[in-house]
Amino acid sequence: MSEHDDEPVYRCHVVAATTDALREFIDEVRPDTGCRPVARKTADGGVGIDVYLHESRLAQARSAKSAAAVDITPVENTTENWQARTREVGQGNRFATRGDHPHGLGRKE
Amino acid sequence: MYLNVTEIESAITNLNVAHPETTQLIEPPHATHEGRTTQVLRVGTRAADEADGILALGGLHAREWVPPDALVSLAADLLEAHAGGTGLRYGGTAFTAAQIATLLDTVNLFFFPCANPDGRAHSQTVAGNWRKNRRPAPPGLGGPSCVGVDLNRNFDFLWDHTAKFAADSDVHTSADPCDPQQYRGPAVASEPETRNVVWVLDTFPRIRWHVDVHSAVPVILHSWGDDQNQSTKSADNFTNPALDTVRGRRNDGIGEFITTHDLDTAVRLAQRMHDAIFGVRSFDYGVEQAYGLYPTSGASDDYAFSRHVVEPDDTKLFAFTIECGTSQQPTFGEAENVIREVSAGLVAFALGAHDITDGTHP
Ligand SMILES: [Zn+2]
Repeated sequence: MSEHDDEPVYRCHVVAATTDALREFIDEVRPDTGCRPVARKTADGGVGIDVYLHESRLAQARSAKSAAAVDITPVENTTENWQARTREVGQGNRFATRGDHPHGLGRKE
Repeated sequence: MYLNVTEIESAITNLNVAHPETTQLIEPPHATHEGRTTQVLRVGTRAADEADGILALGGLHAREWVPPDALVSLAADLLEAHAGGTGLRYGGTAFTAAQIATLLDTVNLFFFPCANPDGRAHSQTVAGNWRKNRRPAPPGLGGPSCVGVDLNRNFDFLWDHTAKFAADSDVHTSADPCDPQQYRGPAVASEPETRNVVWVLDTFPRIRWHVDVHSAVPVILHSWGDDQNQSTKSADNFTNPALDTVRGRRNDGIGEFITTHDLDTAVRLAQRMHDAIFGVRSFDYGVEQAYGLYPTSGASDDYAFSRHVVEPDDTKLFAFTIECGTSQQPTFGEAENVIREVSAGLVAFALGAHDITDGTHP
């Protein structure tokens, strides 16, 4: 995949009317389907999955034979998003002192 | 702010220092390829061999940033609430002080927040989309994607997918070291990070439940992941070599065996998590079998649930995967909402685990 190193990766919602149509698309395009290739029912009775595609492969995916039976909607440029998120990663060590420990997000009540 | 890998280990150490009576610091033996060590924090008032346990695992997949933060946050919450005699609230889901006290007195929670620190460090600083660990590339293969193993395809469950599944089952695993996402590794349980998880299960036989936290879909997954479930033919299971040429196909009348009682238990445990998560902010995770569109091999949840089938003397471990949130790297503000969901789900799971599994409240 080194040829893709400079290309952004998009997270895309792919929705089909049937599981078979969705599987046909994945078989043909072979996108990164995340942790586990699990689809969920959509509100309008279809079936959807999020896949991750490099920009050039997104164009290829749209012109795939099986793409006629699915809707592909890019929802996140994960590369751009990552660049922004890296500014939200701790720098150094907020717990370097032995007495410092995290407090969870639950409300103690 | 998301925790970096140094902070995760310091947070665990310091929670143990602050709460010596209710925690135990556990150090799995295997250092990662980049020389990092990881820690497990046991939370509970009774010793590891005196109460049943839950392994809450996070960070196998590097690019999924929320799960390690969620597990550290929950460990801190439980310890602070227990010490202060308070309950805990996550959005619309609340637990009383008495429930938190009961939880720590009846269950040991083994928090293993960041099983793949090399991968997380790489994802947080170099390549955001990095999923695998950082096993060096095999000799002669130089591309960046030839580094690393997908730890959640490296466990000892039908690991050799090319031999164990039907050729047309399209199991989502790869034997290609340069597969950027799903490389299973050079051998079963080849990776130090995988062996650390196995070591925890081997060392603490009172662990009866395994929850592997990932992101994102969201969904809660229960057994099995290798084929569709069936409850009629006990010999049709993952140990049966006669199925090696047909395993994983859908709707072929052959599936992975699970008793109706175990399936019912698994679904009810998953549903308990789901309901508590839904209570936080009305987000519907849903519950599904891990075999979704395709089979998988070598995943931690299937390995954990398979142990008692392979070794009948081993503890039966009910095993789940939570796929939390909708994005692998949400803004930290949104991550906080997902952390609340995971926390609420795990507390409810821990409170219900005995009753649902042992049927004291049918
Ligand atoms: Zn994952």
